[in-house]
Order: sequence, then structure tokens, then C-alpha cells
Amino acid sequence: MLTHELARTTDTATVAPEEYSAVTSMMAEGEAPLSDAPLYSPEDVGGGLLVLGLLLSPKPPKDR
Amino acid sequence: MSFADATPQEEYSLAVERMAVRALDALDVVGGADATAPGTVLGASTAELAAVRILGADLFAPHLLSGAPLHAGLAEAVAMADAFRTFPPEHVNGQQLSGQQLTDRQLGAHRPSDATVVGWRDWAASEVLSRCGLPPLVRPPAESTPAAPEDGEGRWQDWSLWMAKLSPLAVPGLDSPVHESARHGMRALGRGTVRAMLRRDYRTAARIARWLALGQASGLQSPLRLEPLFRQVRLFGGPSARTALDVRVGERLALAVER
Amino acid sequence: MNPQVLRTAHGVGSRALAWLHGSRQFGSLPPGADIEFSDPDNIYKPLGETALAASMVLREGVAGPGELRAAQELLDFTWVQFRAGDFLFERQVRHPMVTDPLETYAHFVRGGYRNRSLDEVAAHLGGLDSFRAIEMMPNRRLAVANANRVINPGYQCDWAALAADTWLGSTPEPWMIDWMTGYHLTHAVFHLTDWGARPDGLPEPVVDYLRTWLPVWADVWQEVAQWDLLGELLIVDACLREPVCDPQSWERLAEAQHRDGLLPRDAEPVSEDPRRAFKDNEHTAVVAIVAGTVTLARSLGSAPAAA
Repeated sequence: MLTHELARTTDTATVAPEEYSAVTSMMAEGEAPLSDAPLYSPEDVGGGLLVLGLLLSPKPPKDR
Repeated sequence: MSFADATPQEEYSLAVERMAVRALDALDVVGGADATAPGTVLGASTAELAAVRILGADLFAPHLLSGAPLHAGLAEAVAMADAFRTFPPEHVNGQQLSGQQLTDRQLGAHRPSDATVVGWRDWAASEVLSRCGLPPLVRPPAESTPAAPEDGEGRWQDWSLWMAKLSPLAVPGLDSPVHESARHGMRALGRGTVRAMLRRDYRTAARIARWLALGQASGLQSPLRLEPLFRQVRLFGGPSARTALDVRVGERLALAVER
Repeated sequence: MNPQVLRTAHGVGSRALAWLHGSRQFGSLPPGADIEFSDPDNIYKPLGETALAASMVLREGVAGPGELRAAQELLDFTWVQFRAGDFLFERQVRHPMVTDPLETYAHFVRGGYRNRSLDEVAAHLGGLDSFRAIEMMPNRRLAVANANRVINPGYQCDWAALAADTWLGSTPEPWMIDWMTGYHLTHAVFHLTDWGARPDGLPEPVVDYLRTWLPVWADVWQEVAQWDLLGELLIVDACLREPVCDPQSWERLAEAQHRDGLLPRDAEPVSEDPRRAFKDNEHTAVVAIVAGTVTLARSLGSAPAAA
């Protein structure tokens, strides 16, 4: 992390090419390269983690 | 002079964030412009000048949104003039662009180059400077700007992403062929916004939505309700001050017309 | 829709049909399967879906003779699996509150089959207050209503109210959607329009809403290779009077489809084991068949044979 910056003169000869291109690329910055679109998640199915939306749901009997 | 281990990109990113925080604070103050105390120097270092340059017209958003008077003595105007001297347009425009830009999708026969993006952003900053009473530095780019796609033609994805890059132009008081195309592209802007939201690229969503807000403020119908949208970006969109600035500007514009 | 896209759409659908037809033995009910099954191997649902796909090909009649034959064989195969409907009848009698037997039966009715007992059960249940009040997701309620409408064309219900209860019916913020809601939305459209046979089944505000936002959802999920969901969104597109999605989407599906017709549901690697591959990707084949069929039918302007 930068803790201080030194005052600069406005002498353009001291600005390096990579500093110009940093400005350019930040001005022309595009969208996020990777999508984080919603995908399948078990929580989304059936109304959430609570089965059938009921806090207490009957356990299926072991034997019929 | 930067630390040996911080790249210009990293250094300038931090500086832009800090500059955006300043602009946000100024936006929140009633009257906007008075937030910057007289005698403040905004461009004390190369990084700060880079930040001013990158933010461009957004630096003046507090003034443009509140109608506060623009004049050559404003700290923002002094810094912007200095930034243009330190990073002249012909040097910034002519640079090789990073690989990131190469992932942008093609826009058919006339893909506006990123030099055109920079050209329009520079024009906007220069326009505001001339309102401050300083001589204009940049003419509008000569290439024709891409028109908003009609439904069924053109590609709303690429056009809305191009408009995202020009979000600093989405501010009251500026007009140009870009603004004209935005007025005809409310539906495409809406689609681009929703696409960005679903990709969870909240920054891009806010940038595109600013154009919707500007259009709505001038009486056009937005295909999206902007208040809940900007609120979602504000809550879900992460800590970036740049994003928050786009949101705040958009919210202020959206308030201009109650829907 | 331009002829090139139609050729692509038709190709995707017919290759998927060939794959489904060729793999149908993986979808047989195990011998002695009774109506008390919990379907741990997920056989029942795919059989119903296969019947759906086959019935759609037969309904629209826009396929070539080879495909029509394959569709007929698939429908016959699944009808035999269900013992000409008796299996479904027995399951419905044993479990009067479940809706799947009639939902499944509807596909066979569409394809020209009838089971007298199921017809009587459908008529009986359709008149019960309880049956109409069973707790279920709104898009499932639409599924049941459409199934009843197919089985009995005189079936009455308040379609507007059922539509209004769905997420889609509220035409909400299009950026507040997740993967599952995407499927709820597509299913709401399928049942309101009887799989494209009744485009008027969609309320006008829903049509306008879909025309604006459907291309966005298709773009977003296509970017992350959700081929199954993309296929369903393209079915929705074909249920509109005029398609609105980017025709490029069909090219993406064609690129993702394997040479043998298997269309992967997403970007995950497909299992080497053919039985596993069938189970994992059967749904996507059904989607591709229906999408290709309805897309072609809509474009050709053929009068759909509404039940």
C-alpha cells in the first residue's frame, strides 16, 4: 500500500509509456470477463431448505 | 514517484477510488460544489492527476447535478487542466491497449475502437472545462457513433457495453450524437442493464443504467424501474466507490422524474 | 425466421430424436415395478417426458417420415411401459392427491391414445374441490390445468387467475430471476399455450414482457453453457407469435450437440457410461425435440392441432 505520494511537476517527459497505457485501459475498461450468472442450487428447489416450507415435516414411515 | 512494486495500474486504481470517494462526498452535500474547500489541490501527484483524467467529467458530477456554478478557479477545473497537460490526449489515445479490451465482442463492421471511447470521454471532460471558462482541448471524435439497435437488428449487447464505457457522458448539460443514440436506445439499454445484473457485474449495470436514468429524466420511458435497481446495485454491488458514484448519479437522475 | 436457422433448429431436434429413440431401452420401467415406487432411479419422469416429445412431433406433423416413425415408436414404447395406461390408473387410484398420472396421460391423449378408466378418473377428479385446491407451485397448477384441457377439451378453469399467480404473471423485475425461476417461467408458458398451440393463451402484458426480456435470459444462460435451460427458453420463443431471440442461439446448441445427437444439459463432461449419459441428458433431448418441432411449426405457419 502507498503511504505517501511525492508532488510531481507537470513535465510530461517523465510520464512513462506504461503510465499512459494504464490511464487508457482504465478509461476504456470493459465488462467483467466472466459471467457469474445464477446456476442450479439445491436451496432454490422446493421453496428452500425447509422441506415443503414446513418447519416440522413428517418423516416417511420406515415400513409400510 | 511510485513504489517499485506497485504497477501504475494498481497505483492509479487506488487513486481513482479515492477521487471517487471525494466526488461522492461532494454529491451528498447540499449544493454539491461547496464540499471542496477553497485552496484544495486535487492533482498533487501523478497518480491523482491520472485519477482525475480517468474519472473525467464525473469529477464534476456534483456541480452538474446540483447546478452549482462552474468557473476556472474550481479545484476540479485546475486539476483537470493539469491532468490534460500531464496526460495529453494524443499520448493517451495512441496507446496500445491491454489484452482486456480484446475480449470485447465485435460490433459488426464498425466496431468503435477504444480510442474512440477515450476520445468521447475526453471530449466530455473538455466540454465541462470550457464551461468553466477554460479553452476547449478536445473536439468530438470524427467517426460516427454506433446507433442504438432496432429490435431485431444490431446487437444490443455490444452497443450497451459501448454505452457503459461512456457513462461519464450520462450527466445533465451535455449533448452529442452519443446522447442522441441513447435516447433512441432505451430498450437496448434496459436489456444491457439486465444482462449485467444477471452476470453479477454490478459496476457495468450501474454504468448502463445511468443512461436509462438520464433518458427518464428527460421524459423518456424506462423499461426498468430504476429506484429498486440502483438500490440493489448499492446493496449487492460491493465496496467500489466508482460503482457507488455511478449509482448515486443514476439515483439522482432517476429522482428527477417520479414514475 | 431465415431458412438457415430453421435448418439448424430442425437438425438439432431430429438428431436429438434419433438419440432418444436409439437409447430408449435405458428408460424401461424395471420388471415388476409397481405403483408404490418412489422412482429412485428416475425412470418414471423421463418416460413421461419421452411421451411428451413424441406427441409433439406427431401433433405438429412437420417432421420427415423417418422422424414421424421414430416418434410413433417412442410413443408406442412408452405406452407399453405404462401397460396402455393401466399403470397410471392404478397409481392415481392408490394416490388420489398426486397429479402426475394425469399429467403423463395427457401426452398419450395428444398422441391419439385413450384409456377409458383414466378418462373417467380425470372427469371425476376434475370436479372435486379438493383436487383444484391441492397445494402446489403455480406453474404446476397450470400443468395440471393444461393436462385436463388436453384430456377433456371442455375443461373449464380461470386461466387468467392461474397465470396471475405465477412469477411470470406478475411481470416483475427481470433482473431478479434465478435458475429455478427460469424453469418456472418456461413451464408457465408451455402450459398456458399448450406447448405453442395456443399463442393467445399468454396475457398481452406477459407477451410484451417476454418480447423485451427473453433475449436477455437466453444470452445470459447461453454464456454459461446452460443448454437445457436455453432450449426451454427457445421453446418459449417459439410459443410467441413472432420469435424474438437471437437465431445464433440455435447455432450454439448445434455446436454443443454431439454427433450421435446427445445434447449435453450443461458444460459438465458427459458420462462415458451410456446408461448414465442417458439419465443425465434425456431431459435435454426432450427439450431439443420440442424446441425444434415447435420452432419449425411456428415458422411454417402450420395450424397447430390443439387438443
